Amino acid sequence: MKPHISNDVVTPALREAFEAGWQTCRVIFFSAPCGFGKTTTAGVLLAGQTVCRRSAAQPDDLSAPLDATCNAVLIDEVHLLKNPVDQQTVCGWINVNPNVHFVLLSRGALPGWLMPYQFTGLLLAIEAQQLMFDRATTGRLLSQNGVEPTAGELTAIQNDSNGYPLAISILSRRMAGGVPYQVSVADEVRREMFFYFEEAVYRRFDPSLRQLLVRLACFEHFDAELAKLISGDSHVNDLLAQILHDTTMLQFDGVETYHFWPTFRQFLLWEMKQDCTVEEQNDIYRRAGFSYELQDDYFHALDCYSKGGDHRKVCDLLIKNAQLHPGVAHYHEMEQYYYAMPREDVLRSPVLMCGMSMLTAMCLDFEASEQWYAELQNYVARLQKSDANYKEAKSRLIYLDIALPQRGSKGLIDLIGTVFRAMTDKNLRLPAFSVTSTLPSVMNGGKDFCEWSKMDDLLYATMRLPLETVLGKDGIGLADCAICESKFEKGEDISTRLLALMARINEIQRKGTPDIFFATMGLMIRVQVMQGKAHTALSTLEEVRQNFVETGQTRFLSNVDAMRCRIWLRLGMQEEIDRWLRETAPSITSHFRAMWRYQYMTKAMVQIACGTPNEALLSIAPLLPYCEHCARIMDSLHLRVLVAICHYRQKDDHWKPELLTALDAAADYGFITPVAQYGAAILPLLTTCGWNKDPAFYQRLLAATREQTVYYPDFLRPAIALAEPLTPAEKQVLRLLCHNRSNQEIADILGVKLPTIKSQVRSILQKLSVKRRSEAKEAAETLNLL
Amino acid sequence: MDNTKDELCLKPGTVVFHDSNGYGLRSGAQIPYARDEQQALILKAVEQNQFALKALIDAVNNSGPGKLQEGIAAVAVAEFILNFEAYLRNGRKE
Repeated sequence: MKPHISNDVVTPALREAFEAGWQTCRVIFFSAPCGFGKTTTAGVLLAGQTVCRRSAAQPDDLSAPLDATCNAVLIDEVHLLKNPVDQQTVCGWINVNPNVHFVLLSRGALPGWLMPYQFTGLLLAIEAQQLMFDRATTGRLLSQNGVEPTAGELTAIQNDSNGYPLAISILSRRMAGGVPYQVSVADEVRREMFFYFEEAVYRRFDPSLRQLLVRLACFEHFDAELAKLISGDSHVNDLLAQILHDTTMLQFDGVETYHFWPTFRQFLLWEMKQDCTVEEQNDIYRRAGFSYELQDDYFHALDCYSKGGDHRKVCDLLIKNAQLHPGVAHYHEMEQYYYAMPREDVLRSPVLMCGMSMLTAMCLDFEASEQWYAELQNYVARLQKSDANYKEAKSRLIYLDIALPQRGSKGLIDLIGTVFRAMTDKNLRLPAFSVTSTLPSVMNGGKDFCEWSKMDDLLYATMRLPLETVLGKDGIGLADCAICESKFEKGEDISTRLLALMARINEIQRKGTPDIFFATMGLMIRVQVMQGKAHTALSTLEEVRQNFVETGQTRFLSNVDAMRCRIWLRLGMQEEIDRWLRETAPSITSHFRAMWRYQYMTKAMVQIACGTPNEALLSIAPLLPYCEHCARIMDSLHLRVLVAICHYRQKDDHWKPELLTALDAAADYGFITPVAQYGAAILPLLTTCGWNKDPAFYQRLLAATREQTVYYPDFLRPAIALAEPLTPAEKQVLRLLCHNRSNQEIADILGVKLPTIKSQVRSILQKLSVKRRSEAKEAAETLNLL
Repeated sequence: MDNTKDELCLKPGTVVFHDSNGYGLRSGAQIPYARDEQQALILKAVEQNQFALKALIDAVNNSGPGKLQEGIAAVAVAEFILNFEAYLRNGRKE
């Protein structure tokens, strides 16, 4: 079954690339797997030329001379040209016909015998990615087949298909007659596509190659060593080379890593289910799991062992991974496996009981968390000190006492004593814990230490040396950072303290932990922002980010990126903000995670700035009970301020009690910065709320807020409402207009008729009260419309 | 950082006293007592005009020298500070 792709569905970018190649090159080589419409696309692009068509699949085609009248030769299935004589025939044609263009279509990569033409600039290679349909092209193809999807359906189709021409061609047939796009339709398309792959690609390989492909499908990436391990075949390099030659369904990075084109990988996994028994499939997955385990890639190893039904290995790996990576992030990565574990297996392992207690707490199920804690407590109570498991179990219990978020910080003084003893007790081995939980703060990190802020000077003087000497690397810079933060939140000048702290930054990096490093640099960055130096702050943060990337400390990056977004909000870098919101911000549809609270609050700020306060409220709603349950004073303060701003923007009077509660709490601790940092967004609320419990505190707060407003007058400012708002379609047109696209280009991109675009542009100009496109662009920026 | 100026300071009108119920602070009508032996030792030291934090740590530490022992004693002083926060002045002596 050959797919049909309509004649005029060629993207403007591809047409431009082809025409440029036509001018400067003599050979244009299309390299793409089957189903990309190479033949039809080449036919469309060669319209108007006198074309001589040949196919490497037809033996006689290469022996017949070329037609003297043709100015273009199209040769299909070039990957089948394995005989050097045939290859020389084609080269001969190219060499002796200088006025003829050669268009070669292949499922494989550019072969060696054609590379001289590429080196001399005579050959242009067009790759699979260039043949993918963009959204407009997808819409046009569907429309030509009588299918008019809604905008939402078109988005879903484009996301699900990635613009793969075969998929869209099949879909257009399936949706004819008004069938809506839904999961069942997508499944049918996938099935039809896989049957095509089976016929056109898979069955053309001999059985040994097919077996290798199916086994390797378990891996997202693999190298030759892994392929050898999985296949047990020492000649696997030759097999891989053959596959690479015959199809671009397999890709090679040129160094050592292979990967399948994702759709083809899905096909191979489907094929595995068709061709292999359950036992054979399990065996393949277990081998794959073992290979990943050898590489310490526990995430993928768990996936494979789980699919292979090896629950014993899943259990063993969870325990091993928890021991190696005790930080809380580990539990979220492995969450599905923890929840899938049989209860009796968890109860046999103190490591797993500890993991379940932390994981359920992170998901705000505090009742379940305490139940698992109690199970671990009972387990410890049944052991003797001489038991092999005692050390591990007792250590895990102490770890939970320190780290469980619902325990707050009131009893922490006792625990610090316990931690001190535990760290020097040879009978215990405390898992590593992070004071900051990857957040840029010691005071508001894993625990909230605001209560300590009231006596920060005395406590700093008392605890600084003991923290550093007893906690070792976990204590280096801890107390100095904490006192700096405490004073900063109180709006005091910390320049001397910060200088002393920054003088220790190398020591913190060398001998301390990346957690304290991030808290220290985070404080420095926040100080720079509060001093109106947002650009400097951004540069500092980029260096921190780079440092984390280079040292492999990727667990901090989510919060680094959220912090970066907060700086972008001050600088009005809308494109970057939009991208963070689209690609990085946590979704409210996924499970709520307490450890992502910094990101949820950042998302709420973005949504306020976008003029959607109701969405902002949704983003932070789950945090309110969490903050109450876990005594998060600082987070509560920020949340109440954000909620007040949201209500204010909605013209809802509930803003006042929220802000008054926040101000009561802020005054109780002397905290200025948590409120003042919202500057322009909070100033109108502050000046009208009527709070008067502490006039001196209020005056200081107001002065600090005004200072921030001067630095960042547009912070969280929503778009100004037009008398008549722009429609969604008009916003799309305006966005393209701001990127200097002509009306015709806009029409092509959106797949809409030109007169419609002209009418929409007229409407936009009228609504913005401007006469020219350049003025519309200025108005869009000034009014923050996009 | 010079810690010779790190001293406990009672708020004006607050004094140390002791009776049959043990050691405590008196501030107007408020009489909070020490919660344990270690807090009593701290109050006793303050009553004897030992305000330096180092001296208070030493007063609590009955296990001898050593990082852990001094650390545990410092924790006790920190707990005292948090418990009696309302009667103490934050900040370093000028």
